[in-house]
Amino acid sequence: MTEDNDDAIIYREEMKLAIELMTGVGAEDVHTVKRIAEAALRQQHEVAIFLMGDGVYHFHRLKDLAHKGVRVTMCTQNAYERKVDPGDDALSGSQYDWAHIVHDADRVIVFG
Amino acid sequence: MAKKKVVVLARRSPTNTRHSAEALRQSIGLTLAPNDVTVILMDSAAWLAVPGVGGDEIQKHLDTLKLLKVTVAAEEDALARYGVPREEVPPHIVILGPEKIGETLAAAEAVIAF
Repeated sequence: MTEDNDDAIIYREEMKLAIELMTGVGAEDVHTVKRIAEAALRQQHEVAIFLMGDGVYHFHRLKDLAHKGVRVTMCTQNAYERKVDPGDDALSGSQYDWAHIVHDADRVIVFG
Repeated sequence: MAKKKVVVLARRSPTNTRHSAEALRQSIGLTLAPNDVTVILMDSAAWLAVPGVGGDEIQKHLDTLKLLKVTVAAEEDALARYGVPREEVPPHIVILGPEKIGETLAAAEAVIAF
């Protein structure tokens, strides 16, 4: 889809963005991931976030993104190792989910 | 369905952190979708090219990747830099120079760095 304005032709294409977050509470990556996801949603892109490793500690912070339409999934094995209980089956997932998220995405960003 | 070219980079020593074991586990998981996965062992993760380094879990992952016919490559410069004996790298692990690594990364549709 394109639209003209006085100065330029703007190309807009809805894209699928996959984000993997592997860093824990000591890193600021979760804030960056949130901002990127929210900006992408405003641009009408599809966003999927996969939490792995210490990233599973952040699932509470990212739940509100799930309510806004972001697919938030986490690696259940890593959650189990860290005694993190999602308390919500919609968040539980596995490497199978990430495999398909990666395959379907137009862009993949990893914070690890 | 067309396969997507995905490269996984393992960069950290298998003895200091679980990152490399997780890189290999994710590489196996990525084959559950139509992804054409290549694993590159870089920097201190080059030691993963030697059988037995890193313990049973890592060896299990490497054996599984071999069964799945996933290409596992080691960075040539890293082998030299970290004193990894080339003669102990099994033949199914490809040794790549910087140009080949560059080509592989350029051809990838997704790069996942651990």
